[in-house]
Amino acid sequence: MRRNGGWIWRGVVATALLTAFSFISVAQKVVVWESEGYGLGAVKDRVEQLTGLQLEIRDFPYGELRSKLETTLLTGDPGVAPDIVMVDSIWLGELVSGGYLADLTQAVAGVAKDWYPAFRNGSQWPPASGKYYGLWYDTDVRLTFYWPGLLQKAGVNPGDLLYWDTYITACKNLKAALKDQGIGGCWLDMAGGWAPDFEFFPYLWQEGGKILEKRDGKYVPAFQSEAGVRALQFLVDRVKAGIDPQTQTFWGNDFAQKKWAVYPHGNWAASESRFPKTTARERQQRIAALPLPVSAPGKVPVTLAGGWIMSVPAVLQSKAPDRFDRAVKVMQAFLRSDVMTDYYGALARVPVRAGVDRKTLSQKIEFFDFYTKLASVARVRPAIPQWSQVSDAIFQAMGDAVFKGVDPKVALEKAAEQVRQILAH
Amino acid sequence: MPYAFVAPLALALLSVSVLPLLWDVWVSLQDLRTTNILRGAPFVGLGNYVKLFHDPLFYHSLRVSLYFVVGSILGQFMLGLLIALIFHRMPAVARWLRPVFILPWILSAIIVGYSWIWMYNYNFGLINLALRAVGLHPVRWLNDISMAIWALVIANVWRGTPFTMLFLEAALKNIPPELYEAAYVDGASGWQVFRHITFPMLRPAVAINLILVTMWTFNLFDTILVMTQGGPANATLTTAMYMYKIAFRYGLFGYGAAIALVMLAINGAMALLYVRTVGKAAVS
Repeated sequence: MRRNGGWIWRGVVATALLTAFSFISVAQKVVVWESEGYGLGAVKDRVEQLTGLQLEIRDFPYGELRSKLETTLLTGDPGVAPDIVMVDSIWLGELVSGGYLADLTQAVAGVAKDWYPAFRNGSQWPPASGKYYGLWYDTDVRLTFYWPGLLQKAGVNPGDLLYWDTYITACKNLKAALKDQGIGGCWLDMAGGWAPDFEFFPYLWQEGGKILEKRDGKYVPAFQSEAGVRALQFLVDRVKAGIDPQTQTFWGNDFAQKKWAVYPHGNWAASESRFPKTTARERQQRIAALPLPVSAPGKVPVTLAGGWIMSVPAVLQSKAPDRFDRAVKVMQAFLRSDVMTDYYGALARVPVRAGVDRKTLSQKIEFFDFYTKLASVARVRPAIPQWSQVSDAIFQAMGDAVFKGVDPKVALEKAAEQVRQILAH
Repeated sequence: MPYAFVAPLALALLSVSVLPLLWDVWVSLQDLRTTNILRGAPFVGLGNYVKLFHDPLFYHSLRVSLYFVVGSILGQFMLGLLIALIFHRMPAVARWLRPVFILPWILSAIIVGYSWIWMYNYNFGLINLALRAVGLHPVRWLNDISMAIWALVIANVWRGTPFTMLFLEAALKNIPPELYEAAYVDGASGWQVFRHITFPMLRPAVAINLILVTMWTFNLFDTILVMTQGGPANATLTTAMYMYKIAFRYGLFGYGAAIALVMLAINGAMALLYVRTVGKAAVS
């Protein structure tokens, strides 16, 4: 009898355990693909708590993410597709035109009202069309960082970094004064296809120019305008003054190691990833930040904002609606103001929306108020499907002007002709 | 019956080389892009090839490839042959130094690229530090349009020389020693021995080596991607790099496939040369 009772109890315990395990396995998984360091990882626990879903986050190197995403989505098989994808904002047009991303207008249009206009419009395709294919959740801004001590040593006034002409003189003085210490004066980025983001587009916009404009519903090049020529001439003037164009970049690590006195770059150059084991306050005490230089007083120091858009593959919407609903649920949890505050705080990122806890973030993120001020008036690149070709044509014009001595107007006209042909196809 | 034994291997070869090649040909006849791949790309016939032969950047890339291949081969072959001869003459030295000399060949192209980027850096690189230390002006290795391609050639020669060295050293070991003994008995000088015995006997190996290295160098793209991405101002844009850019950066798969097939034709010509040279050498 005792023996039989033991078996009954064991059976009850086993059944209870099996039931518990089956409940655990019911917590469904949402697979997220993101570029290393830019995504849900920082708030994974919080989102899981809010949704009751389990997140499986897979990080890819930047260059690999796009090709991996495209080859996977090409199969049209939801079995191999992730549930949520983070796409670089400049890929949006290409991915939407290819039919890879789901229309998320219903899911995000409401919350997007809180977004700064550039990021709200940039989450739509065509831009500002009212059709959302995701939501921009993370951005970066370009600005000038400098080491105050080095400027002082070289007798350079930081205010000189605010205007084109005085900037060039300041850089020449810095180069001469710091040469013997193995420290460069001013960084000038010609390191790859992204160089126009740092060295051309912000100055083009500051001068009132545009990269592309729409005529009769079609994009045409506009960067070869007078404003474009002035922007490119500023680049040429800097090189002629002895500021060496750099063809390799270390993404701010060299600035953190004091290899450069002045570093016009993305805000990540001042982040903890470049200055390990430092607080935001400590970084603010060590380095200083200014807007990018403008040609004359009174001009707005417009900057360029990049960043990431959170989206869902179209194949889920058509072939796996349950998974699509779960992905949207996770997105909506992440897009809560409090969760995004946690996200920005954890990764020291620049917010794309007004409704975040600024007090908390200003303690966690260096130069927070300055970054958000820049982000609120920043411009974004047109995310057309041919963007990488357009950007490369402009980079080629920069290279021709800087390395081959081609007149900026001629170089830009040649690039514009190339872009006209690219956009015609 | 013999065909049945060969069939599995033939099928495997067909599936991994012939089918992808046919697929590539098919893709090159369409305007296939990332933006139309799901909907079906338009058939353009030879349109991509016509476009290619009117593309000035393609001709520029061929010119850059020519400099890169010729520079790399000259450097790699001369150095490889010299080291192979030294090692052949001095086996004791070879035993100690061979592993050190092979090291660049076993490193991945990416690691080689990053190492050379650091060494070439204008401000902090080892090479410019050395130049400054001896009172010379630093060089803009990768920032100068006339210098960048040669900087890549140096890095590639550094990586490829061990292969040529090993290849030729193995060939040197196959030369019958009696030939040398007879030549020395007849009073031949070192140069005469090299000119009339060593080099003629090495010729088949040299031909194979040169053609293999030519094809590899023509196709090389990873080191260039890491070091210059084809810049500055397209000064290092080789054909392989251009194809990568077109297909994988711009998402123009049809046009990229056309470039790949033209590259294949160039490599095919090299292979033909290889087969003919080896054939002639075998006959002689």
